[in-house]
Amino acid sequence: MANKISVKSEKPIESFYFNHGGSWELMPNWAEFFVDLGAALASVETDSESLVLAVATPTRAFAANLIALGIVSARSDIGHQGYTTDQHFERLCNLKPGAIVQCLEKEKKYRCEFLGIETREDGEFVKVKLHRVKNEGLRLIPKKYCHKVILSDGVQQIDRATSRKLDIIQRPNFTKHFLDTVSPMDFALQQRLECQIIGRQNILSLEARSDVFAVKDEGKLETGNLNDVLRVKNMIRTGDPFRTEIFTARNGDHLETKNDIPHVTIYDGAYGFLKFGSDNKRPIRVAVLDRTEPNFSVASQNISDMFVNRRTREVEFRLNNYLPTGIEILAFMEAQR
Amino acid sequence: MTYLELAEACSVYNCCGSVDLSRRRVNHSQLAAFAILLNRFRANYREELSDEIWNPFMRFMKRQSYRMQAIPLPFSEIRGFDTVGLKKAAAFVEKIKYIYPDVDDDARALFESYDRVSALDDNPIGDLILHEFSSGSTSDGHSAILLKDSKWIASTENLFCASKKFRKLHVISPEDLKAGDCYGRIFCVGPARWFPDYVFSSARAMDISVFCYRWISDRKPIQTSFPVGSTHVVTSKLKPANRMDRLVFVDSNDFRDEFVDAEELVPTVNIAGIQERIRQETSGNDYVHEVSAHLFVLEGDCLVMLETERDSKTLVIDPLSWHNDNEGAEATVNRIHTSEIEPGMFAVIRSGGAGDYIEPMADEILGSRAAGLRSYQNKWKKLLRAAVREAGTEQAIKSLKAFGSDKANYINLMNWMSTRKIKTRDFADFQAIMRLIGLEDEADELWQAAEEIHAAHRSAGFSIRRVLIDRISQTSIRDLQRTGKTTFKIGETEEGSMLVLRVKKILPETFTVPESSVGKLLEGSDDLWQ
Repeated sequence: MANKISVKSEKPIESFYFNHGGSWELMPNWAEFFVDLGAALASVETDSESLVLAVATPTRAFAANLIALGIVSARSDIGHQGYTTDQHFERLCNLKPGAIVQCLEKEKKYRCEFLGIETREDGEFVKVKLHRVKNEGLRLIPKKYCHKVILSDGVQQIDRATSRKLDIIQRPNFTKHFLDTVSPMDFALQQRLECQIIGRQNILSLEARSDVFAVKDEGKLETGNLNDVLRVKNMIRTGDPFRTEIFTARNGDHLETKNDIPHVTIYDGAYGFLKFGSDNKRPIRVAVLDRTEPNFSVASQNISDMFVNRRTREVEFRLNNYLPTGIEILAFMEAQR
Repeated sequence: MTYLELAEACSVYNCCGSVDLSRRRVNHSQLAAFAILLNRFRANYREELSDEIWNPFMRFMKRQSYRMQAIPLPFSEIRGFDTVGLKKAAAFVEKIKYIYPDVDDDARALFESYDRVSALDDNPIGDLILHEFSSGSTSDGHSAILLKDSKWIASTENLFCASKKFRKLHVISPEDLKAGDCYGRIFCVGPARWFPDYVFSSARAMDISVFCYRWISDRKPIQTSFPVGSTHVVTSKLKPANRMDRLVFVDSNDFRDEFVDAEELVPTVNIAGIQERIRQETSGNDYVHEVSAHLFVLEGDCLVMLETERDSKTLVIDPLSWHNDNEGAEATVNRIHTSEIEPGMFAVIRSGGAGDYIEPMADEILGSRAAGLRSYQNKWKKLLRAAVREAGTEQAIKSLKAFGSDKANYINLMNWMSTRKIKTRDFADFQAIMRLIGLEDEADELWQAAEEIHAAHRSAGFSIRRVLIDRISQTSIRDLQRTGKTTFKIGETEEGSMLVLRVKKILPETFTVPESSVGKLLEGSDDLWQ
C-alpha cells in the first residue's frame, strides 16, 4: 500500500453567520466543518484514482449543501485568471439580451443595453444599444474589440415579459465573501459544473433557498442564501450559467445519462449512494449518511467493505475546523475504472 | 428526519456533543421469577416445544412476557390486553398433562407464575420514570418516555400524560427521534439493545436513561459507524472534551444476574407459519398466477405481501420529504417502485383485507360499465394464461413475436398475464396476444375496453393521491409519525376505506405468492408472530 494522501483546506471562511431565532450568531463548528471539508475536497487532483469519503452524521440537515458550498467557493477562481478576448466574448455570450452593461466609447463609459451576439459574413459582433442623452443608437462591436463591453457586479437584465430589471447576481456582497479573486459577476457568467448532489430534491432545494445566512463585510451584515454561491441549475433562471445540480435518487432516474461529470458528487443519503455510488469514474464521491436512515448500516458496511477491498491509499484531512462530536468520516482512494 | 431548520440541526449537534448515557437496573421478584422460568422452560423443553401443539401457548407466554418488560403500564392492565389468550392458555394447561405428562408440572408452574404476576397492579419501570421526572429540574424542558413499539404509545399516554403535572412528558417511539425535536431527558423503557443505535449515537437529548430489568443481558458500548474505523482529521484548533469518544452506558446500580438475552424476548415473524399459509392458499386451485413478493411488517404488527419485482409501484407517504409549507404534503405522497420502499415510509393498504385499492375506485368511475368492461378484461387474461400454461412460456413468447409483438419477453409476458396490469403499452403487442388466444376479431373492442379501464385507474390513482395530500395538509405529518397509522375514505362506500400504515421492516426473504394475496393484510397476525 502506498502512503497516505493528505487533503488540506487552505483558509477558513470567516465571519459567516446564521439567524438563530432572530439573532445573528457565528456559524457553529459543525457547519463550518462541512464547508471546510468541501473546500479541502476542492483541491484534490485525481488522476488514475478517485476519492471516496463517507460522512456519518446525526442528521443529514444542511450537510450536503454546506459541503457543496465549500467546493464551489474554493474552486471559484478556476478559469478566471485574466480573460483573453475569446474568454471575455464567451462571458458576453452567456448574457441574456436586455442585460444592462457599460460600453467604452471615446474613452468614456456609457450605460447600454446588451442586445445579443450577431453573426455576419465578416465575423461575430456584440450588439448593444447605447443609452445617451444625445446620439442614442445601436452599436455593433466586433469580437476583437469586445473588451469595450464592460461587465460589472451591478449588471442587470430586463425580463422581456414583465419589463422588470433583474439582477444577475442578486446579493453580490454576500456572494463575494465566498469568492477569492474573481468578481461575483464573472463568477455568475461562467458555467462550470463543480458539484452534483443526489438526494431528496425538494429538501435540498429548500435548504439552498433558506435565507438564514449572512456574512460580515466591513462591519455590515450582508444576508443571503446558499444558492447565491451554489447556483443550482434548476434554482436560477433558465439558461443562466450554473455550478451545482441536484438530482433525485428515486423514480428510476438514471444519473449516468445526465450531463457532465462534476468534480465532486455528493450522495445525500444512503439510498442514493447504494443506488449510484459504485460509479468510480467520478473523481470524488461523498456519501452523507444520516444515522437515523433505514439503510444507514447497509451503506456504512458497504463503504467499509470498499475500504478493505478496493482502497489504494488512505486519506488524511488537514482542516481548519475540528471534527465535531457526532460526526465520523471514512475516506480512501480507489483506482478509477 | 424530514426538513430541519438550521437552528434545529444545531440543537441536534448540541445534544450529540454532550450526551450522558446511563442505565438503571430495575428489579421485581415476581416478574423476574416468571421471565426466568419462561426462559428455562424454552431451553429445557426445546424438543417437545417443536410440536405445533405448543405454539399458541408459547406465543401467548412470550408475547405477554415481552409486553410486561417493554410497556410501562401496570401488569394487570397488560393482562387485560389478551384475555382470550389467557383463557386458551389456562385450558391448554389443563389438557397438556394427557399429551406431555413429563412437562405438565413445569408448564403449570409457568402458567401460574404468569397468572400471579399479571394479577398485580405493579408498574416498576413506570413508577421509577415518574419519580425521576417529578424530581428532575423543571428547567430541563420537555422529556420523553421512549417505547420500543409505537403500538403502545396511546395507552401509555393515557396513564402518564392525563395529569397536567406531566404535560411536559411525552411518549414517543424511535421513529420520532428521526426529526429535529430535542428533549431535556429521554427515558428508554427496556434494554438499550432493543433500540436502534441512532437513539444513542445521534442523541436527541443530553441525558438518556435506560430503564432495564436486571435479569436482561444488554449491550455495552455503542458501535462506531464504520466497522473498519474512521479517518483522522488534523487541525490546529483545540477540540473540546468529547463525550462521544466514550459512548458507553454507565450503570447506576449493581447487577450480576443477567439471565435473559434482550433479543430473545422480542417476538419475531413466524416465517414458516406464513409459508404454510401461502401453501394452503394455493393448494386445491387449478392454476394460480404467482408473483415474487416481499413481506412487509407494518405498524401494529400487521403483515402484508407486496410485489417487488418488475415495475410494480406502491403509493407511499415519505415523511422524509416533508417540509412545513404549501408544497410539503404534496412532496410526501408519491407512487414509487415497491422495491424502493424503505422502513419509515407509510404504505397505503385497502382496509378489510381486499387487496388492490385502485380497482374499486376505478369501478366507481366506470359506473354501470364497470362489470362489462372487467369481464372483457378477465376473458382475454384468462385465455392468455391458459395458452401460456399449455404451450409453455418460451413457446408463447416465440408465437407472440411471430404474430408481430416487438416486446414479447418473459417479464412483459408475466405483466400481460397479471390481473394487476391492464394492457400492453402498444396495440401491436395486444394484437399479437389476441391472435395467440384466437380473439383477433375482437381485438379492437377489447383494446377499447382496456383503454377505458386504464383511464379509470389513472383517474382513481390521482384521486387517492389528492385525498391523501389533503389529509396530510389538514393534519400534520408529525401526527402521522407519532401514531404510525391513519385511515381515510374516498367516497361513501366501505370499499373506499384505506389504511395508511408505517413500514417497520421489510423481510429479506423473497416469497412466491398468488397474485391475489398481494396487498392484502394477512389476518390473524398473532399466529404469525412467535
